[in-house]
Amino acid sequence: MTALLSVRDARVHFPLTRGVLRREIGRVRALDGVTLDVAAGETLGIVGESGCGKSTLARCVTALQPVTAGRVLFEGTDVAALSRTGRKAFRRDVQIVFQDPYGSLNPRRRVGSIIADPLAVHRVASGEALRRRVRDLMDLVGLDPSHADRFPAEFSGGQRQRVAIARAIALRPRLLVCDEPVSALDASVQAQILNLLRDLRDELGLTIVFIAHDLPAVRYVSDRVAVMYLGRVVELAAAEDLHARPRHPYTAALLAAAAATDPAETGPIATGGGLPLLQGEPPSPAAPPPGCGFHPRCPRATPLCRREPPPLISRPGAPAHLAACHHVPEHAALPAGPEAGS
Amino acid sequence: MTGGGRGMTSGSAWARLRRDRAAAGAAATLLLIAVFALLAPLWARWTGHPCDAAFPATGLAADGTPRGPSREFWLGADPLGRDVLVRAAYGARISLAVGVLAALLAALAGTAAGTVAGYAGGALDALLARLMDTALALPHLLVAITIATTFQITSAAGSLALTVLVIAFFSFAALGRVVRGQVLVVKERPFIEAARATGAPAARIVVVDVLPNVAAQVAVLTSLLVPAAIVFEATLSFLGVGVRPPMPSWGAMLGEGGAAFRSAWWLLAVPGTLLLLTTLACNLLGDAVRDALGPERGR
Amino acid sequence: MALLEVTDLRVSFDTPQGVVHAVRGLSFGVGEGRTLGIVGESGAGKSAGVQALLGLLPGARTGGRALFAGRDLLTAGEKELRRVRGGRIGMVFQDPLAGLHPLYPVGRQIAEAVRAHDPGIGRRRARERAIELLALAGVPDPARRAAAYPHRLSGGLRQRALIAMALAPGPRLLIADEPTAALDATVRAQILDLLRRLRDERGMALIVISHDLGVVAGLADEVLVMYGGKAAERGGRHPLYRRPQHPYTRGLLASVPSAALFAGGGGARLRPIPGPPPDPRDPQPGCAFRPRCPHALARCGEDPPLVPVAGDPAHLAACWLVRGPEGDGP
Repeated sequence: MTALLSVRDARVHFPLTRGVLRREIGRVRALDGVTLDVAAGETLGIVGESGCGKSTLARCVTALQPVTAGRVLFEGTDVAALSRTGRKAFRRDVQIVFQDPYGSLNPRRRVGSIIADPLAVHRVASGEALRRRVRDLMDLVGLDPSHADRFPAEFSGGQRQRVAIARAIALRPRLLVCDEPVSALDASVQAQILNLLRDLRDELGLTIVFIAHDLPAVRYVSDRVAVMYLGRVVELAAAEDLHARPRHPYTAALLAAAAATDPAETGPIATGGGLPLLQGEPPSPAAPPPGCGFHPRCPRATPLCRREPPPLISRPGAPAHLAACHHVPEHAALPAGPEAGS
Repeated sequence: MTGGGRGMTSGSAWARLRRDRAAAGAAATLLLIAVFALLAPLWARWTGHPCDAAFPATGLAADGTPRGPSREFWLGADPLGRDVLVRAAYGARISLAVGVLAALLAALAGTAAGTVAGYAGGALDALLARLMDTALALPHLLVAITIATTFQITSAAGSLALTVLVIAFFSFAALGRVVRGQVLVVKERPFIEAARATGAPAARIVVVDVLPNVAAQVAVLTSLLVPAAIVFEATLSFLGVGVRPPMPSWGAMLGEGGAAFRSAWWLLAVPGTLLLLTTLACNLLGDAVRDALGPERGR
Repeated sequence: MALLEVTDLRVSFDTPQGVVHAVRGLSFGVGEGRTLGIVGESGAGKSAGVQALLGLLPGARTGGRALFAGRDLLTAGEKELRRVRGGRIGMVFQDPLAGLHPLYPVGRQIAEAVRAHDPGIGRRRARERAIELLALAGVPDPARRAAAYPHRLSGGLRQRALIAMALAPGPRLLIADEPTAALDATVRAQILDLLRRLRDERGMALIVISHDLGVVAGLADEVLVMYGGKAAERGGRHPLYRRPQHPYTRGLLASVPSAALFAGGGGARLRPIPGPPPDPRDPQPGCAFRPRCPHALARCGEDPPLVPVAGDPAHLAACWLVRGPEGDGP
């Protein structure tokens, strides 16, 4: 089976320049060799903290950002090498929902016109047919179709994100990329949007790449989850597997952090179910450490980790569970292992 | 409660503008001046003094100095014995037309240059930005005088057109630079990237998403360009390089009246007052429009 | 008696879009060594309430009473409030950059806070104290970091520097307004851990304001859930999280993907609260949650009082369906 979307060793390096002559003084390695596949019909979650490159990845797979090296393939075709018509078809097939529901809608246009935009651009519908499609789309995402004449400022954050989703699914895309679609919303509204995305996926058979910094939200909508750190994927596995048996110490730390702020954990002041909290903060992608990017914060780092970047590989017995760590424990759950704290 | 009604309680920009007293006064002043200009032939008929006709017998005193305001010449006569009232009305037509035309032309050129430079970026941006910098750096008056004396245009329409073009050229750059900066800001807003993601071509994005978000600034800047252009025209005509005599314009009248000012104050007072009132009203109105449009609706 | 005792606080202020009724009758208290968590969505009034107490909302109209160590903050003059803010009440905000001056090294800013509180202290001693405070706030290599400008520090270190500054005068009450909203998950846990440790070591009272029930869960002894400028529910952390009484609290807990949700298997579904939060510019009579409430009754057109829940006098909810000692919950 070929994947709908394949990312092969994708890198995005932004030059850092200084002075009027824009002399290059360094590079920000926003994306530093990402390889992953998204199969048709699945939802791949991508989780990581700020600066890990997840939004850059979103922009690469939607061809809004060219890769510096490596390839992004949609249905086996390199998106960088698309012809004019190929690119047009790609834009129909791949849509994106952005984080900021306030910024991603033109404040001077009516929402009906915003939702109609992709249909008008690709000349799919016009006139009364277009208006009917817009009404149907608004209905589908839970908006009142009679509000099509209103401006974005007249809607709440959650409703605006529904408008953005309606625009993104207007062309029935084959791949929908959601870049932190709920981060800017209130908790009770986040759940509405997460459920909407799940329902749309089931109703329309969408393939979704769902990006967030929040592991529980990613787990809630995703079949598989990729954990990113410093421009790389450090672990990739089925959502349940990743939570039950995290192999990378960073994944374990994210789980601990999520548990520390889980309202359902009402133990004696939660600290992530007794897991040690991670020290320090991610290094700057402008000055990544040598070897494994995680080693300065890793409780189990050895000289090998400081020297050699670990490859993202599977281990015997679990071919679909990839981790980039030199010290993957032989069995199952890392948090339970006595070596975790040493 | 429905989701509607947010952020709209303060009313539209138009409603805010209508509540502004200074704006209302300024608009009324401009309206009066425009009516005064439009009715110029009527003044000529009533007074019996066509615009360019000289009446030395009634308009000039025995010693050849112009007569002041009287029943015959409501606002006095000029040194040639022409009616200042009639000439001020016809001059208003020229001054307003040159001001508005030059401002519109500058707005059009500036918006086009600024938008293209800001949105396209790269070499095109560098070229247009340098062009605008150059237009701003040149000594306006000197260049305008050089152009006017180089192209010896004698026809009235020709001199008018050249004046408009010269003023527009020196005004478009200031507006263009502001528009360019604004486009650069708008371009970075997420909804532009969202439009790109739908596959919309650049021209469509510029028209549908960029321009409406800079239109307010362009409107304000244009309304402020009008008085500047009127003053520019007055300056050129005052120096004798604007509209050609005997065509009246406020600037030309000021220029002609300068010599006889000591004995005939009305020669400066009439066009001067009109010029002052017009520019003041235009500026007030422009400020009011800017305040009314205010920051973008919503958050 | 509690260190801070707020009774029937009311706060409103003008905006170009109309009058915002941010807080409409709110009572709470917090004692030394204790933590109160205030939870609510945007516009619930949680930040405005606390800011108004400290005189940080210029132009706001306030009502009610706010006794801090026996003195009413709402009637205190600007000068006195300023002394309180830089002294016995410390504050930490969401955006650490907003709380730090961009043009001075953080160590110098903390030293100034030390000297402002204790003018007799020498410059050198104040500088040493600043480094001690940075160390106390968990800043690694504090002597070197003291010389750094705010923008050179990571988000987590900035927040630690701000906490160090708030600690300078030895406050009795520390107010943290969304202290972790701008931080990543692993850093957020570190900062919450730090706040907890500082509270325990110094016996301070702590108020943590957050939109996130989870942030408050690990820290608070008592939790106040705000909705539409009022208390929807108030109670000990355990009773409130385990037996939430107000439909809003229940809704909020049911709308976050928690470990409990996933424990039920893959098909488990979030149950979001329908509709948007109320507009604080347009408060409706009666229960503010009524338009979104699945249990709304005709009676909800009247304002429900905050009443004790059956069996727990310290657990209060403002809902007509909470009957108190003999009745059942919704």
